[in-house]
Amino acid sequence: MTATMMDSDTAPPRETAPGQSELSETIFRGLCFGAATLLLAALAGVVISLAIGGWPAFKQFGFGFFTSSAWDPVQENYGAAGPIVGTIVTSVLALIIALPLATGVSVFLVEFCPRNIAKPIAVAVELLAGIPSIVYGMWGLFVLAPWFAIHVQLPLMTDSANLPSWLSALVAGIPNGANIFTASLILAIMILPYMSAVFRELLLTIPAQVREAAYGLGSTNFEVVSKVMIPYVRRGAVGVVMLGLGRALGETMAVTFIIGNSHGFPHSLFDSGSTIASTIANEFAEATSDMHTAALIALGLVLFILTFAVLAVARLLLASEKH
Amino acid sequence: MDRALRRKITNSVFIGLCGAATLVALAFLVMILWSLVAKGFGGLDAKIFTMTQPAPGSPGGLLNGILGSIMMCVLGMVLAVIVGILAGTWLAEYGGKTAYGQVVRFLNDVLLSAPSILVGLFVYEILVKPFHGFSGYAGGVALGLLAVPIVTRTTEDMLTLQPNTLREAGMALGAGRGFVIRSIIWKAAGAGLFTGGLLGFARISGETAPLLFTSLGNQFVNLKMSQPMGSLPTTIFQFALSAYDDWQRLAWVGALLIAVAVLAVNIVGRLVARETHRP
Amino acid sequence: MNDVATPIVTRDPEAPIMVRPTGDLVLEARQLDFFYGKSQSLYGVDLPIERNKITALIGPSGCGKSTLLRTLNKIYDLYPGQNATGRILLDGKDLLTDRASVGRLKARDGDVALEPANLDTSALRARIGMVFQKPTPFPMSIYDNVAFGVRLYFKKSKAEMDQIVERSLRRAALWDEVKDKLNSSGLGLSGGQQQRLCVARGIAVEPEVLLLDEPASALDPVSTAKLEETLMELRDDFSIVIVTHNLQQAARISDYTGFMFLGRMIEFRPTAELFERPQSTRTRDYVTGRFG
Repeated sequence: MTATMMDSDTAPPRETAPGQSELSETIFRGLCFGAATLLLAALAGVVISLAIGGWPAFKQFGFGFFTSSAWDPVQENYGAAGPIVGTIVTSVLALIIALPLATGVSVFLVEFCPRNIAKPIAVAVELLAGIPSIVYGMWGLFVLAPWFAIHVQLPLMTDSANLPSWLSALVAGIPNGANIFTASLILAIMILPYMSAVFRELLLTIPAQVREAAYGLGSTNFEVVSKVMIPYVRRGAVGVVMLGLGRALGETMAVTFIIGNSHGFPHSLFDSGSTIASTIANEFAEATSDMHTAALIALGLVLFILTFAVLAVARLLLASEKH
Repeated sequence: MDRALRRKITNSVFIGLCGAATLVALAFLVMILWSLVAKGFGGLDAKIFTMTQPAPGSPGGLLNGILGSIMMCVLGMVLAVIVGILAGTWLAEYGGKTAYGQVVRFLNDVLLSAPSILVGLFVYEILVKPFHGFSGYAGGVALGLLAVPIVTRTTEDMLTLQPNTLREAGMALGAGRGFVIRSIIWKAAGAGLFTGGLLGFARISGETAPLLFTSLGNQFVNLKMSQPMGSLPTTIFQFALSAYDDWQRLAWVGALLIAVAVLAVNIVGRLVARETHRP
Repeated sequence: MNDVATPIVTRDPEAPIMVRPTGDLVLEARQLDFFYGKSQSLYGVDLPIERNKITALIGPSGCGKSTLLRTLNKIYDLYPGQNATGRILLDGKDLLTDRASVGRLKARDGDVALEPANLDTSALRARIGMVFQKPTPFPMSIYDNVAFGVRLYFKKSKAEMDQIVERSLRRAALWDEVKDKLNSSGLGLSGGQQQRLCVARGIAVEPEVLLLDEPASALDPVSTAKLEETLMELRDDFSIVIVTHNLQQAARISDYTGFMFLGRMIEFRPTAELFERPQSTRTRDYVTGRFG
């Protein structure tokens, strides 16, 4: 005779039901909440420590910190303009190079590529995204830079007599391949797979009926893509652009190897320069004084605000697209 | 030329351009992998895994960097998985729809895309400066901070995918909320959570910038995490920018090792993801 | 419309036509109202469930039959913003106003979904089992699936648990098919088998009432037949309430049937009578297929 599980009149014995107790429920929930709050605190911590660490520099130099391109550890005079300009220029340039490529790749994979090789190619492009930036940096320094110096810069230099003066001014620079332009190129290669992957996902959200309707009217591929598909995901597309921009802004290692690391404004496209990230990477460990360190951290705060703004807008645009 | 022909030509040009773009992207992948193999593979030998980094001109390997990277990545992943899974669970199961939850989710995304060098600065301020020393712990924490948003995000996504009836079925039997999560939902999402861990690991194994001011580097094999520790990326950074040929060769070997590790993890992640999508 | 074969009884059009079961009631809902936030979806529903019988709830989509079912085991109060008023009597004890049911029961606003209040309600919930429309085996072995509920409340020795698992699987007509693979994952079973596993899981804790929400709608005809057979045999030990949109199914297996429409109980009678001599025109229209 097996006893019934439950007596009808009394509640079952409160033996140790695993994880059933009110207390264990509360503890678990508390742990989960604590972890989520820890995340919040970590990010807040980053911002706060950057602000505190960089404060001495802001106090000392005031608004001039952003406009001065001086960078003199001996005189303790620091200005962020050079790295800031370098950061923005390389990122924007990278975007200009990467955007058409990323669009082309994603459109190709979604519209034109035969189904059976589309997936492997997409995977290959995503693998490109996973390669760590230091590998890009090495490749840039040892492969791209020399090639660029020999095959682009030198010919342009020897030919400079025949070039219009604005062009020769634009491409003036030491022919070692380490300059703003090559850094932008490396950045472009880095953000290309990322942007094309996200953009491809966006395109795949377009309902089949929309595409079919457009084709049904007799449009060519080009017309369907440019007039129907891309406008359909317009907001998300801008979001993708900003995501790419955000990544480029913060990229450190790939750029540090190949940007030439000179302070001050770059004078031409092929001149060396610096970005915020490369400056910090190069100088922080051996910063000569507290003010030097503070200036570097202040640079970091500027970078954070830049990337935060760009990424916030990007997320908003992408999120609103998902409805 | 009449309109129809013009449209056709435009279209063909367009298709060609798109195909060309894809070829360009693939070409870069091939070029980079080729360089890695061509310049790094030749330097691969037993010494790499048994000897510490050498002075210029002497024989040596990358053992200190390899061990240091492994140790700090493991520390980082342990931290990231614990915090990330719990935080992702909170977002998916408890407070994700509240205003506070939206804020946490948003800030998680910000941390996900934040420049890693800034995370390194932060950890410097809290773990290096107060203790007057670089350490493996600081490096591990920095890596953990970079991986945790990935784990959180993947956890939340994977848990939200689980059907509500699964939760109801558990609770209809009288089980508590947390118990249902731990004994049913986590298990059901298991493969997805594992992939999140892999993705996080793939990201941090190649990170250099945050390690520059947290673990700094150590030319000797050091297993004490309270001391500065070497890592593959920082060794590569130092060697690549040096003037010595043999150091530069070692840098390529290191780059190859990292690239292989990251690619391997990515592939494993994909295989796991594909396995679980079999109904 | 004016079919005078059956006399239409003049009465308050809102009041349901109820023929209360003669036997002992294990569960009874009285004047149940249910609210999703501000909107009401059940209006003064009465539902008597006789012990050891199968009671079917039928009606067009949106009539409230699933809502009514989910109200009975209070699974609704795991979602914020949903609540019920009225009485639900389980062996005389009112689930809605019982001390164990008030207080920290309500889910907090902002909770994503579910939040059980305390052990007493959990125990209450175990006395009323539920099987859902889509088979939901837990990601664990067949054995662990069945044992899950039991382990929440009791520490049983391995031998005792083996016995319980076997008995539940036998009752659910699944034992023969799985007895050699009790340790394999529950997810590896076919749809019909998974659903019977869920039944076994539900009855392992020996609830007094077993609620089933369209349990066969995701199954093929063969599995459906098997499930129906199982339910009829389970009647000896359990009281069963089944929501179904399949009229033939209701007619086949149930002893009592309640027809609902727009959140109200329209007619509740012994099954044969409801199908052969429906007293409300609405009921007649529905069972003859004129709508729904």
